[in-house]
Amino acid sequence: MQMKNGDELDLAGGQGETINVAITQGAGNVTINYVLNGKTWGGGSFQLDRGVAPVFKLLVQTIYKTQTGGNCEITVTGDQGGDVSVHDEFQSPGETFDAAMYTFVIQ
Amino acid sequence: MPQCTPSSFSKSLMFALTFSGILLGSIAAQTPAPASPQGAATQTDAKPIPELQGQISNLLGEITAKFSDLKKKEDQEKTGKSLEDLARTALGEVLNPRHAIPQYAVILADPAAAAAARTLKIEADESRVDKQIGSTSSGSGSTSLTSHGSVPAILGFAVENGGLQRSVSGTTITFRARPVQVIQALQRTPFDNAYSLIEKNGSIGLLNRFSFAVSFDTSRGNSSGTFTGSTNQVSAFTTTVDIYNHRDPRDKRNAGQWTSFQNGVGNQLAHSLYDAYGFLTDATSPFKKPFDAWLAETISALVPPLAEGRDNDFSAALASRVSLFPPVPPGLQYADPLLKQLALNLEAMQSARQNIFTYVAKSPILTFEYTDNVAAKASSGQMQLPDNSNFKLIFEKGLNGGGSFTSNFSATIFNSKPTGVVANQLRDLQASFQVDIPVNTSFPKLGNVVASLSGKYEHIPSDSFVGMVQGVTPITSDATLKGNLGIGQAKITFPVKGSGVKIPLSITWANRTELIKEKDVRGNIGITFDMDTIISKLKQ
Repeated sequence: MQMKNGDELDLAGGQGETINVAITQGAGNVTINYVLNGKTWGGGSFQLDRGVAPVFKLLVQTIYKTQTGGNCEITVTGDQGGDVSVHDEFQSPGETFDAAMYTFVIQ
Repeated sequence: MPQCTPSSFSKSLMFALTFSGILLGSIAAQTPAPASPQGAATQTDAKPIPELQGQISNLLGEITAKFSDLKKKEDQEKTGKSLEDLARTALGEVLNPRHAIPQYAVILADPAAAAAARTLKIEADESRVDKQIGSTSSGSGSTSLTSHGSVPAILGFAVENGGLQRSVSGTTITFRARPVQVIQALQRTPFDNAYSLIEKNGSIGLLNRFSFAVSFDTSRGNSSGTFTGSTNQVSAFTTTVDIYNHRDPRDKRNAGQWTSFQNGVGNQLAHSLYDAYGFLTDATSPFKKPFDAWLAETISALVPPLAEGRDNDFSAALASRVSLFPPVPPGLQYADPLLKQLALNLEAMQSARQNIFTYVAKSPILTFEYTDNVAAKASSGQMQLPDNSNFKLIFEKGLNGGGSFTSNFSATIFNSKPTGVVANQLRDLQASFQVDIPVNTSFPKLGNVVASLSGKYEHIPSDSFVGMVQGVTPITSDATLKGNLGIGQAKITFPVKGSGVKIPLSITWANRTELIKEKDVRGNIGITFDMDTIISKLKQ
């Protein structure tokens, strides 16, 4: 898996590559919801497959259990090596949720 | 009659402000993302910070952080990129809907609020009413008749001038800390790791129940009226133990509620965000063209202030660009149900989340507090009283509407019973209650004002000096005269919005003081610093 233009949400992977998504810090601060290619997803890992979609889209939503100071770290890796994507979310006062849309172009 | 002493108070205040600057500088340099684990739970905010404001604050932080990262990288790699190039790259990445989908979703859900975005300002919340930051009620400068059950998670300190039950008013400076979380903050332990460690590790969890405070009476010592920090100004050491306190929404007792929330409204909102991303980026979306045009203009408008480091101009320009977000043309078949569902799901999530906070905020708190009161040193010719120990049980319960009810029960004993000085080892028995009600004001510069009413009863079983004759026996201000005290207090606490600073003003009526059997009416003023709020604000 590679990051494009240094952007940790703009990713590319090989056909059949298994992508692993983990909350590596702050899991207790937030509730996490995933939507993968338009469907509710339970987290963990999935396989890139051109037959499903040419570009996989994964929305990771974090809703904060705190009123301020919440944070979490999302780490995405591929089983064929390459880059490790680390994305941090920080809560500002008044902010109840965050979200990040990962896109995976299948090369 | 009010008994404030402006000169001593202002000196103490100056010290406190100076100290806060040093402390803030120290903590800001050492810890990247501390926050308020305890403070997170009990929001009683009548005027919550708008979601859009929080989202713009977040965007601001992300852009500046990205720009800073790119500058560091350029300094190392020397690729010849200008600051404008780096600013454009940072803006292009962070404002891309991949990163900024929450911000765009909030704007799309409430276009009217977005149109008024240029009036928004970053601010922090400090509406909790259940934190005890100042001294306990027996202190010479206390403004609190009844102690609250929880204390700041990391650090807090207070300067208070007045006096509630003593015969002499004074100025007390109190420093409070919860050592486990202070150490974690200084060790740069990430916020969640710190909380997980406390919740999972029984020993650390047990230690985290303890907090400590030391109070200084500025009227003591050689430089009366000036805070010197010397040991002869120490007036009390306090240890507080949380017996029952589950006012953290992340507490495992609330896991079931969060799971239902996640599977219900959380999941619905996630799908709406996914759809909103498509609305902004899909080639077939009718909104893609106006959005792309707005995004290009926004990046161009923000590059100069970001590259030139004009922070105020940059945040103003960002808010201004948000207010110019393109309106969605009415009647779009594709857009109408999507945006309507987004607005409904966002509102449903916020409402359900607030319900969990409200539920948690009503959870009772039971706290034990031990205070070792250091007796004032007797001057020549006066009789010296021994130190005394106060054992206090504090119960607090949240009320509907965001207020709280607190009650205290305590007993005080002399630590020793010198022959011919103390007649009875039991100094006093006390019971008190307090009701705190947040008041919604129309002053935008103020945070949430809290009005409090409290009452206290104190029974003194005997005179503190054997054979004391009022007005004749030369005694210190700690002395007490047998009898019963009734004290009532009305207090109003003004927060300085977004600063973590609160100013309590109160008026207290008593049927007598501990030493003088005459009616007494006093005014009290204080200033408290809640470092939880201040530290969390440093993250922005």
